[in-house]
Amino acid sequence: MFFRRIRGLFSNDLAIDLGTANTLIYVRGRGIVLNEPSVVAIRQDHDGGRKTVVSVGEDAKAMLGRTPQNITAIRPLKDGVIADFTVTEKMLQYFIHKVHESRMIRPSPRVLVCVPCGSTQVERRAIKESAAGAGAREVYLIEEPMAAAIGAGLPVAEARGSMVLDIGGGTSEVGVISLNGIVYSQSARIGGDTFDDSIINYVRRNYGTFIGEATAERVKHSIGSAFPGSEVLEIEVKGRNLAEGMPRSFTLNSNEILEALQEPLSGIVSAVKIALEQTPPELGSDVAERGIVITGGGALLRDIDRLLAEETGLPVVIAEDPLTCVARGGGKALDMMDERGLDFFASE
Amino acid sequence: MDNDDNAQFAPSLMIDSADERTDSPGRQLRYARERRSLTLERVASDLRLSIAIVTALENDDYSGLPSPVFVSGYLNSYARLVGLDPAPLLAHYRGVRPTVELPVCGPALPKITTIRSSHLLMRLMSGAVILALTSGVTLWWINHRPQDAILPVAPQVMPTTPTAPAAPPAHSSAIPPDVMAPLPLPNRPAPPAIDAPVVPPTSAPLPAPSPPPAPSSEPRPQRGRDSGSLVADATAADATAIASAPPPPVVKKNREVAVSFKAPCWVDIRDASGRFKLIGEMRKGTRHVLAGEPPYSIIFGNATAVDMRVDGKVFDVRAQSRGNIARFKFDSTE
Repeated sequence: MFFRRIRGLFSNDLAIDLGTANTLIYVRGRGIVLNEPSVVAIRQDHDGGRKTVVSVGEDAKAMLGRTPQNITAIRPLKDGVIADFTVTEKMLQYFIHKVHESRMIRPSPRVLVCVPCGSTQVERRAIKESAAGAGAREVYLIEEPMAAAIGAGLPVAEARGSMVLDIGGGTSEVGVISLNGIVYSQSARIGGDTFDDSIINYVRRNYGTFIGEATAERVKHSIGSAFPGSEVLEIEVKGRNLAEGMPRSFTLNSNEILEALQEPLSGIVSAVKIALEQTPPELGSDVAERGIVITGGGALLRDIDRLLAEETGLPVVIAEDPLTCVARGGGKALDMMDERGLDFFASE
Repeated sequence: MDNDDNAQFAPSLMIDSADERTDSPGRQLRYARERRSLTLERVASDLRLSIAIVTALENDDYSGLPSPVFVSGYLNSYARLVGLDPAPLLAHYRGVRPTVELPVCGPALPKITTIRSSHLLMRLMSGAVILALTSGVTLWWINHRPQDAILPVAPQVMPTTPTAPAAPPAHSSAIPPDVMAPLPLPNRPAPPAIDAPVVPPTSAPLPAPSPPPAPSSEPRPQRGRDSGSLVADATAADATAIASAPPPPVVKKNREVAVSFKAPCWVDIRDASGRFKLIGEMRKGTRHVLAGEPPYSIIFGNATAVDMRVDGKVFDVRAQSRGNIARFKFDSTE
């Protein structure tokens, strides 16, 4: 403990958005320094059965679905929470080292981790333990809607209701915030991964072809949209034809993807509608007057704001740089914590 | 329908907007809207905003509008609605309001900044409190321990003499001839009985010091006389004996006090000078003769197991005990 404190003097405080799809790290005073996929590739030795980490992040993501028998590329987080504790710990350890790579001394930073508001106590404890195991001196947790709202620049301290919708890789979080607190929050286990799965299923059903997750994600990024647009985009993809067993190429258009995404999108829309129903009327009127703010990678889905605006009848706004909102919000919270905590931490 | 319009008008408007790039975002939006013959009401309902907000956007009057994140979003939506490229508008807007108000993000803070027991300050404070408590308790114990030993003794010494009527005859047996003679004088010599612990050894050779304490001793002899008990006579006799015959007191002073134990007993015996100490658990059958200077402060943990003899005569320890613990002060010179 004591040595951790000493090492802490040589470490920067971090805010980590430990997401299902991507992990972002905000370093105090430096901004966002790491944005890598939450993927770890592990090699299992033939004889000893010992497991070693081969690569983490971008490199590991490139291996997804392309690994030999002795290597597995794992996404250790699922639905916004830890699915594989040990691998998550290794991944965090790697990332923390990476942002401190110039340091001679092993880092021991204070870490703020964003957690889904719907996560259970056990899941939160797991995240905390995992960060502590990765070398964090102290671990703080912040709920994602709050971090997203702060990161998006919403006036969270005011006595006015602000609604934020954070569509992440594994979960979508709706939160109504007023006076620095969450008035209502709801977490739906629908996110970018669900979109990918829907696309995979759609393609298999309608084209009799099996495509991988990486391809589905590429399709989503290129031509995915949430609302019928004026122009129809097309993309050529290759997959394994289930009848022939051979790789075949075919063309998908944006309307098909829109159709494929209907189910997860309606899940998100209904989560927002429920949140609006549950919001106290005063706060609801504030939200109606100013609108809903969307953050997270899901906000990049074309016309998702139009879909929500049509469905709810409220103005919908996409935050600037929505991918990094949560991490930036965590970073701001970290800064504020340090400012407020100066008198507490003066002895350090 | 809007979408078709977008597709139709977008190219020409893009060119226009390039020409008007130096214009403020509000003016560009208004031109674009008027070109497309859209009314304010139509735009407001499409954007789900109030007309006041749309007007404020067109007039570049951002003072009454909500925080920048919303304004950016509104500008973005408005630009897309009228077929403008939102990027330059937003860049212009950021130029107008470069200082994006940071929200006071106290939200997470109350949760996060709670000071924990592991905090250094808390540790130091609790350490200081524990230290203060420990030293306080130690000081109290050091200061109060001797008093504890003395306090119960003072009242207990008194009853011993009356409750042990056997003793006086023993005392007086050596002195009976003098008893009658000094009887009128007991008023003065009586005090040594009280102040005995200190006075006798020094006063023994010189009878002179006995008169000074007389005033304080007056009530006592009176009580003795009123009750007419033998005690008073005995003490008086002692006193007169001291006064009249120096050799006998020397004999009394050196009375031998021996304690022996019939069963294991915890013992704490200290003499007045502090040089002689007998502390610890005594086994069955052990015998000790007390040395050092009387009076002794005595504690027996198991009073029934103690056989205490003064000059070979049994001293009733049980009369001093409460429960099975005897705690008293004993002056062997009396």
